[in-house]
Amino acid sequence: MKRSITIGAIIASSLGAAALAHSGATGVVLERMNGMSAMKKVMGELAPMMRGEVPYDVAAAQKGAATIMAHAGGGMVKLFPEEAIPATSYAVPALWERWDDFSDLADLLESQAFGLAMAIPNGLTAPEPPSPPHDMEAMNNMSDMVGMTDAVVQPSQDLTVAQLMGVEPTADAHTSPTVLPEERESSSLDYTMMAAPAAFEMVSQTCAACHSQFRRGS
Amino acid sequence: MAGGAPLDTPFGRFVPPNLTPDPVHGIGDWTLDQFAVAVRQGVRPDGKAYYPAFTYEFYNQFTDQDMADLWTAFRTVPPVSVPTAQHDLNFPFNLRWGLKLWRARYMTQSETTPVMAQSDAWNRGQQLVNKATHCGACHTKRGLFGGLDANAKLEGNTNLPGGSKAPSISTEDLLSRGWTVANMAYALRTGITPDGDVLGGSMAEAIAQGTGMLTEGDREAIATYLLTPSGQISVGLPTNAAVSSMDSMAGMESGGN
Repeated sequence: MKRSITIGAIIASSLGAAALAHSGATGVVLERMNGMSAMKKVMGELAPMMRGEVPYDVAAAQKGAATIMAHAGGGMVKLFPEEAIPATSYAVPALWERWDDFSDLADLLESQAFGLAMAIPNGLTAPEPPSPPHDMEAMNNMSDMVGMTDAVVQPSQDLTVAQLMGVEPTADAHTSPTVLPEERESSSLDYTMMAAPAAFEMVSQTCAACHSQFRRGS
Repeated sequence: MAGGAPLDTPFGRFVPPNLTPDPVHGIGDWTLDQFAVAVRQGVRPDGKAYYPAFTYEFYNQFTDQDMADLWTAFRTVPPVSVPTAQHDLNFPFNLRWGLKLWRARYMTQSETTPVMAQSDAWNRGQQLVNKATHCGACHTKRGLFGGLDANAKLEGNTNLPGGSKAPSISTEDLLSRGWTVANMAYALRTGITPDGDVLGGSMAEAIAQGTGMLTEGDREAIATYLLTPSGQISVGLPTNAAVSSMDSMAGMESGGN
């Protein structure tokens, strides 16, 4: 009896601590905040890895991608029932007013997290594109040469004036948070040929697109 | 460029004008000199002043070359024949002549004097932060009449239009929150903060339409300037370029085996 009371007290206090951490949020609001926090933890842990600051850990990165997948898509939207928004929530009314946009972003996040999982084994650089068999030996020799490690996929820096002014789409516009999901050609993306940091940044762009439209504050 | 999202403030609603080269509704019949006066001094071709919702305070140290480059870029935008909507401002802020008083009392000069002892990155960062990227427009609080508080530069603003807030980006606060040159340069492209949050709000737009378009070197310069404590000399902080060149050297050694 005493033991169960103790366990009960521990559970109650840990629930209390979690609720306090989110300024008194309870129920479904607390549940979705916990989901967001889990994804935030993953982003915080993987970012230094994707920048090459800490050792690259395929297993840890895969686990992180799986965590995001679990909290995105249908798992995310079901935690946003249409109801009066409590003061503890950071959601804004636009989320329900433009439900399809929110739902699309949640689905996009899920598919991008899956894409990240596919790109993670590639490490920090994109794999060499497939080449005809007779070139294989030359390619193997070349892979040891200086400069080949610079193949990280980055947004092009060679933008035209019109692109810089935002009146002409850039080559990497498909990853831009300003482009609606339906405008993206995500189906043409081959994550297995992508550097993990590029896939990771696409995830972050979807987070930013959603936060900028549907989260109060910054 | 033919207008944009209105800005709701305690003074009323400001509407961005048509900046395309349309000769009637845009700036097509302007000269380079008129453009330069508008951007650097905040004065329209008809001699009237702009409201500081247009952040010309930050642009007064732009060089003649900067102005020529900007003008050339603006001329490449396709003209759009759409009239500019009028601002909807509360009395007495709707009286544009009052801006002359405002300019005399509140207009600040951006600090951009190069410091010889500092690195090129720090000096470049100073130029970007205090001029082109105008970080202080949101991250410095404003007084009752919208003037920037020179005593609280970049220390945050809890009263932005729309009820949002911009956190302090003073060096001390940034360092205490775990920012480094590397993770800040990365955040200015991806929005990912050191604790894993991804920035939303108006900063997401500032990244997508602004700092995300800069070169990696410029993002590192901004971070170097913001993270160097006052009175200290910025050092050659490690960058991704340095790391990747080291990797290349390691690869060369293993390749020789």
